Amino acid sequence: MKENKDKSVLIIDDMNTARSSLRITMTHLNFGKILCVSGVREAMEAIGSKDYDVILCDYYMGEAADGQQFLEFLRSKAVIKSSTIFVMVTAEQGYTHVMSAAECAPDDYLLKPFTAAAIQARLARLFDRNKALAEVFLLHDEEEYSGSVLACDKVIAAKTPFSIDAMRFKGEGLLNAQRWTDAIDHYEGILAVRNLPWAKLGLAKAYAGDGQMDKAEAVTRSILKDNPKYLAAYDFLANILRRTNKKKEALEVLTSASEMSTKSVSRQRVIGAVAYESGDLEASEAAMLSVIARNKNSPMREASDYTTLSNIMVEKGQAAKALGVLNEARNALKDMPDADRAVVSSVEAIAHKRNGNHPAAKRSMQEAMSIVTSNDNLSENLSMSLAKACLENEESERGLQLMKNMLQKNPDDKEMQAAIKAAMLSSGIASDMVDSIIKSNLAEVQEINNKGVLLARNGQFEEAGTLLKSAASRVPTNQQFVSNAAAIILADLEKNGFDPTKLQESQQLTKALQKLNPSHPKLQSLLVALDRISKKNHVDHEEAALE
Amino acid sequence: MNKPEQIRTNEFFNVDIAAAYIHDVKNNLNFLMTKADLEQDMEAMQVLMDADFKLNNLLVLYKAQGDMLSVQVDAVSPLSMLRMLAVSYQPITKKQLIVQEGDESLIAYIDQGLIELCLGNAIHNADRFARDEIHLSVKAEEGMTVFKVSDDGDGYPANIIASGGSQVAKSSSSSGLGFYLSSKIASQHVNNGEQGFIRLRNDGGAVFEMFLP
Repeated sequence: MKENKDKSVLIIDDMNTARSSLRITMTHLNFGKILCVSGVREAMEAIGSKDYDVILCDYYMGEAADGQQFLEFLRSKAVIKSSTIFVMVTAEQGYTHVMSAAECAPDDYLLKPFTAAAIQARLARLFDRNKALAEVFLLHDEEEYSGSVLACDKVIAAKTPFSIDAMRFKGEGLLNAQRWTDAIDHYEGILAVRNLPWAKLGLAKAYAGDGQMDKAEAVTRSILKDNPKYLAAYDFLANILRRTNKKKEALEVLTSASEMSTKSVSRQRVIGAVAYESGDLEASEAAMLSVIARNKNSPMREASDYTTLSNIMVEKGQAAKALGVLNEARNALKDMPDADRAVVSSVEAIAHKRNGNHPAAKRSMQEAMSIVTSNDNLSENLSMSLAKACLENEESERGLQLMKNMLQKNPDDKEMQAAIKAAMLSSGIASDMVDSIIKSNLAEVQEINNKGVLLARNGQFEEAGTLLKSAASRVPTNQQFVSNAAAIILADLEKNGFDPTKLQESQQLTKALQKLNPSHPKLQSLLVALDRISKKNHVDHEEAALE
Repeated sequence: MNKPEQIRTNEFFNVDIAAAYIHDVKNNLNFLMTKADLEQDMEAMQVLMDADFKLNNLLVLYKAQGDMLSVQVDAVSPLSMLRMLAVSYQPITKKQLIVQEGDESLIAYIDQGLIELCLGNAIHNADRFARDEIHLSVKAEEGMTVFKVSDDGDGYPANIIASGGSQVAKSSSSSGLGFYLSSKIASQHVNNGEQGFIRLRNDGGAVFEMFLP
């Protein structure tokens, strides 16, 4: 119990007696800092101001959300560190099944009634686990997934009781690093010993990442055959169906999952999005209305819930209603980040315009444009909202520029092309015009790359580098721009002599490429060349990259 | 006259209502448990723990009879689990709970919640008959994980051993019910055509074993 002294605990329970009896127990166990709160709002405030080592959360929270919803929110938004221990307190053993079949399970359960010794035993095991997996958690939170996989291998080899935890984290690391083949091998190895639903789900995810959608679908369906209550598998099956353009089927799967577990707001969000994509505005509207109703007054609400709903209403020709929803968003989320505020203003600009209030539309448009000063590096949602607003409000040049960036981000993204096409058509651009704009924007990617390569071949490295560097900074997610820019700067270094600034530029671009696509075909040769040039010029690779 | 089956599926009493009542009672028990724990009132804690086991058994029995007992197997470190159980139960018994050393990297494929319930029952049972010590151990044997709870008491009476634990449910004694549920839960653990089971025997005291494939 000595080690408890420097540990902090957050207790979340809506019942006063339960809260105080847990506080007494944790005080008795000598925990250094103990805070008790009654619900999600206070819990978020507490977590926002301090990292807690342990969160003890009652499954029943007396709110629209339950403990499981709250846990999923905390983990999916990375509000808490991987090493933060989340223990669910419940009086019913049956719920542990519900929770372990969800996308993220708590670190442990505490079944009422419990003794102080029982809490101590469970937490002590988790503190030991955290020690064994410290490096894994650290690298995972830094998104250094390949490093975290290596750290997992060390834990597995050490033959401790934590090898199972390490195997689970290794799978997640491989998936996050997009090492699909390694992930398939890893999960198949686990499944060869025992048919575990989480390992099957991991295998399905690896297949899907690798583009083998048929296999992914078959594996996911087989999980549901063995475990009809495995909710995470329903969600992933719907994800596969959505990506393979079987939207109606995806909706059916999601609907049956939400009948089994009625509290999941995140699943309602997905239902809203898939219904929208399949053209079912009514179903989409209903889903988003329920998301907003359930998250009323909850810190788990998101600005995009309101803007998505307003977009649907605008499309249904109910601009005035949409404006009401946006107003609600401004009131409910007074301190939303600028990027969210810009989306709200953009949707407002469209709604006002459709509502016939041109001066108000202009004001909203200007507000949005004053928040977003550059077109580069915007989220998809913000780019699209702003672009649509621009096209509707006599800012076509900026609107088209934004759409160009979106198209060039990933020239193979057919869904994006379809979405942009729909947005252009709805703003009144003629159909043949829309097609030619999209075509020329996509062709430009190839032109810029070809031009850059040609310049480099003719020895004009400066010009080639400038061209591709500016393309890569305008569209930093275009792998072709990034990889070619990195390669051309390297060629320049080899031909024209060493320059530390250029080496650093190339290193940064290569790192960016590694993040975008860890299995990019040019990545290995870039890394090898960088290493060779650094060594030749006695530059410490890591140091140069960090500067 | 209502047939028993009709009573079981009566709209006024189903598994959800049973679970809701048990949930409330467990909150009450937890309140008392914290109090007794602080006052180090072992006798009160034992009574509370006994009440908790009876509630759990009632719910599991109810589910088992309605074929609603679902077993969800996951990979678990059984040695950590035993150590955790020993520390948890030590405050409510005067007997010494001893976990035998074993393979740290052993992995068991079990429904942890349900197996903890069975082993808890077994510890609770051993507490009444043990002289000084209760031993917990786990090992892998011919593809099975074998959990063992043994004590240094006089051993099981012949009729319990003869029944193998499966018939005793008919006598409504709580230890009999515990064995019945353990054998039910064990048998729901299935792998490669093999089924789990429990074994009761005497070997210098009572020995309760769970074999899980």
